[in-house]
Amino acid sequence: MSKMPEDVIEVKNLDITFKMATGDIHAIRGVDFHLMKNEVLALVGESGCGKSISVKTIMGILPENAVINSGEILYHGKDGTVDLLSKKFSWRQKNINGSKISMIFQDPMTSLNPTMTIGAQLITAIRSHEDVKKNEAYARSIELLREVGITEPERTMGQYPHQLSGGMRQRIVIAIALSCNPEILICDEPTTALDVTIQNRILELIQKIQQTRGVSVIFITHNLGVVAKIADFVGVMYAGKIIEYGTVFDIFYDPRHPYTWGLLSAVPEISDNKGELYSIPGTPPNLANEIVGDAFAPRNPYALAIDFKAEPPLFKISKTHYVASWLADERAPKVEMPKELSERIEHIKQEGMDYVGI
Amino acid sequence: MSESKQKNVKSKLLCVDDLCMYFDAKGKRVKASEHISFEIREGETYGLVGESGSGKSTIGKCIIGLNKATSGSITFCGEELTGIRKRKEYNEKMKDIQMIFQDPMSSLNPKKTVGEIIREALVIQKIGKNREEQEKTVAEILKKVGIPTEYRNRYPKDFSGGQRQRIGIARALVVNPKLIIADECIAALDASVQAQIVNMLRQIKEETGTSFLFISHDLTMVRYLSDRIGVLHLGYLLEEGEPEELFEDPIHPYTRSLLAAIPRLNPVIQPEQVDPYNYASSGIDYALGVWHDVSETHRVRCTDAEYELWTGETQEEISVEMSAEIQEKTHKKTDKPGKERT
Repeated sequence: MSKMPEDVIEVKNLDITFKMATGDIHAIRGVDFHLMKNEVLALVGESGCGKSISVKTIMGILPENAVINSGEILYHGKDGTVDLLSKKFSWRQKNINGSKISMIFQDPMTSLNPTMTIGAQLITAIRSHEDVKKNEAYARSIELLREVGITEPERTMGQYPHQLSGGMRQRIVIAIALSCNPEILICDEPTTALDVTIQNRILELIQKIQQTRGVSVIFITHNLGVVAKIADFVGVMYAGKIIEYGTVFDIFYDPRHPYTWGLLSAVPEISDNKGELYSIPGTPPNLANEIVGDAFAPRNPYALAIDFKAEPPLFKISKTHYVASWLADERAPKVEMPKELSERIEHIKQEGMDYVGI
Repeated sequence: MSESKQKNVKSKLLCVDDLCMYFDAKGKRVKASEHISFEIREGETYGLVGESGSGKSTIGKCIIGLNKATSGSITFCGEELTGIRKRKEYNEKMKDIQMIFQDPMSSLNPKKTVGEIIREALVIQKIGKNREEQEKTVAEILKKVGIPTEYRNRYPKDFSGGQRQRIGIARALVVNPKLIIADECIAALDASVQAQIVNMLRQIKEETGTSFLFISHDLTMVRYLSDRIGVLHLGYLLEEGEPEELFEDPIHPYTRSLLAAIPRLNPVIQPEQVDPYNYASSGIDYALGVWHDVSETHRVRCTDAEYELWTGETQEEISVEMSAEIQEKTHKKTDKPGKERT
């Protein structure tokens, strides 16, 4: 993954350990990714694979027992490039967090202050970053609320978070995140706690904002349907590493890693017929133990002997598509994805073509 | 309300008839369930879907007696549950109805070992002659849900989320219930673990013939498990039918909007901005609706005029609200307006 001129964030070789009373947990084991301007990068994986930790490192909000062993997070701003990890947290709070990079969390109830009105929270957010008068901040708040699709902004300004529904609260959180015109928006499972209909509207809102404001988005989710809808690029994470990276078409039409195969097979589709649902055998490895070879090998029916001995490097499949699996090595035997999945992908492709054809 | 199904009387396991559940809070009446009627037959899995606040959990809680129904009746194995006033008598009946909850961590006692948690159910229901026999049953059930029996002396904290949910299922299964109410039992799990649990539930269903009431907001998973599905919104049961009927040929605009909102596993298909379903502005009054049979198993709750509008030739007008993709499906269907099942 070479540096492209339009990168806004580059995470290089990030390695993080959590110091616990019971021992060290090696949560992030060398994560590399880059976010391009005006693109949506989705990070997917099971819980505990390190997707949230990676983005929390960008914001500098890791818990105190986390130790960053190595890595760089390069932010390419208008005034040059900075390594965020080399800066103090107070500097990042003042210069980066909120104003350049904003974050939305999963549970809107816990990220809003229950004792303050929506208006007070929005105005505080604006005035803590910019030196503006209160009435100007008020006017901008109203405008922001309109932008996130709230129909009666004046009334909402005087309400408290508990008076609003889950979807409304998440809209408010998005409005606060946008209040200082950030270049990058990080969304950590923003729709997981919401119903499908509300989820759809929030995703559409994030898409709209991304297009009209031209922000770059890092989107964390474990829902592949959401990834298909929103992402331009996808990073599949497993046990603290990115094991496959590519455009949304690379991942959905031509997945190469057996873990990605498993993930794609495990999701039921509404157009599917009934049948046994595929599930990946076993559980993710305990990161408190030393991992030898490929972390996925014990669960991998296609594992080669080398998978248990050496960690696979990131192989290049195409200009955009990378995979960390020994199966991609030219000396490896040719292994086809499971028949059910290849049929499913054929079906998805066909469905897509029919759809475009209309 | 379900005259057409009277012939199935024999195989009926649970019958919910005209159930209303109102909560009075601070002088305000919250109508959680409104005139709900459905039935579950022996060995059948009934799926209840709806968004949060639609009253799906309330129905489950009414059945096991955690909520006292305001009006209406619940009949289980031919006996009316709603008439029972004494807690003790109710609990006796509850041996045959067990529940699996959403959050496996908060539904397992953290101070007890897994073996104790499961055996407790046997002790309470007075199943098994002595301790040894009960221990044997516990070992069998653990094996069935895929937890190694050596783990019986461990505590809930030592298990992962998926394993904890397996333990919750084991506890429900151990007393051989006739009906299991699974309230969002896979919502808190990862996709691949969800698949493991769903496969296990299907296997259990086939092996034991237990009926399930599967409550969930996840339509795709509900489809995988259920024999029949009911769609709930704002306390009303709006549409009911077999999965194929409901997914291929939804009648109610709410069901349609729910189906249109499911994210598709396809990066190309981007449903066009769906005009969201809005009850207040849709002009539909759920209270006026009566059941219309679309087919023997498929029915929808609406007024006569609405039924005509949704199934008749005026299809095009309302189809504006639907996503392009669902729209296409229903257009194919409207070739046969009678909607007979083939």
